[in-house]
Amino acid sequence: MDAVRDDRGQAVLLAAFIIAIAAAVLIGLQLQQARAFALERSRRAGEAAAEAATTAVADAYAAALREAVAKKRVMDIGRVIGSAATNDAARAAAAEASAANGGSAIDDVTLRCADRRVEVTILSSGASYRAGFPAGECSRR
Amino acid sequence: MSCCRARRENHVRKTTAQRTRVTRDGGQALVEFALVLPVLMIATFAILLTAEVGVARLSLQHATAEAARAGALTNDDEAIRSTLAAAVTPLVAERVVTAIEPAAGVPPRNSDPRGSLLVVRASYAIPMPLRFVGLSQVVVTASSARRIEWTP
Repeated sequence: MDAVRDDRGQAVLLAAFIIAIAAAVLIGLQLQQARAFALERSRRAGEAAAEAATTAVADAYAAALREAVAKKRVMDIGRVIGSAATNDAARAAAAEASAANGGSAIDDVTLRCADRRVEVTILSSGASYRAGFPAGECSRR
Repeated sequence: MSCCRARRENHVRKTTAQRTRVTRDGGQALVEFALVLPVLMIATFAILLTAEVGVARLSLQHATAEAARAGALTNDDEAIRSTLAAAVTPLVAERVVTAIEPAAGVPPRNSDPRGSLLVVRASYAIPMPLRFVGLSQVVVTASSARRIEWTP
């Protein structure tokens, strides 16, 4: 009963509560920050991978265009974006850029030619990232 | 006899002093508060510092990504640094230390760098008023890489 009647030690009790709340806030803040930072990093790595893959495809497209002009033929865009070499180059460029940015592995690379544009879609850790460049040879929708 | 009397007097003095100490509790809350105040201040400081480090990390990561993108398009160190300085807010741009790899005068950047990786690294020192405990600053770092698209 003395312990109940005694009014000593409230400040310590209050301080203990405040410290507990502060510790919870600190841990929560750090966890959320780590999550936000990992998400941001993953997103940036995905964007860099998509841009790198698009650059690789654009290089293949430019080479094919130069070759077609030299041989005075119409360029077959479907053959360029459908070739295994272009796909492999795009995948390798995407994987290199993703790894350099601390991102995860590239699950899939899709090339699409539509609406006067070549579009590259990267799938990484369940998220997709897109980039592209204009290509007059791609038909309108 | 004098020895026993002195001991008894001493005992009585001690008992009186103890009784006084137990019955008087004025200023106790103040003493308790003074005891826990440093801990509260450390907790508050830690929360503020964690928030500041988090903001700095995100800002620096965003700035390096933007700078690397600018570098991939222009292959120009000046453009990289100015993009980073513009994107690093709310941090102080003058306190950001930047490193660009590979350097501008080194292959492949001085010839045809298209297809190679450009890495922008940045670090930012957050000053702290805790020099007396050996913790003068917290250094936050970030880096971003982009495939160079620029052609000479």
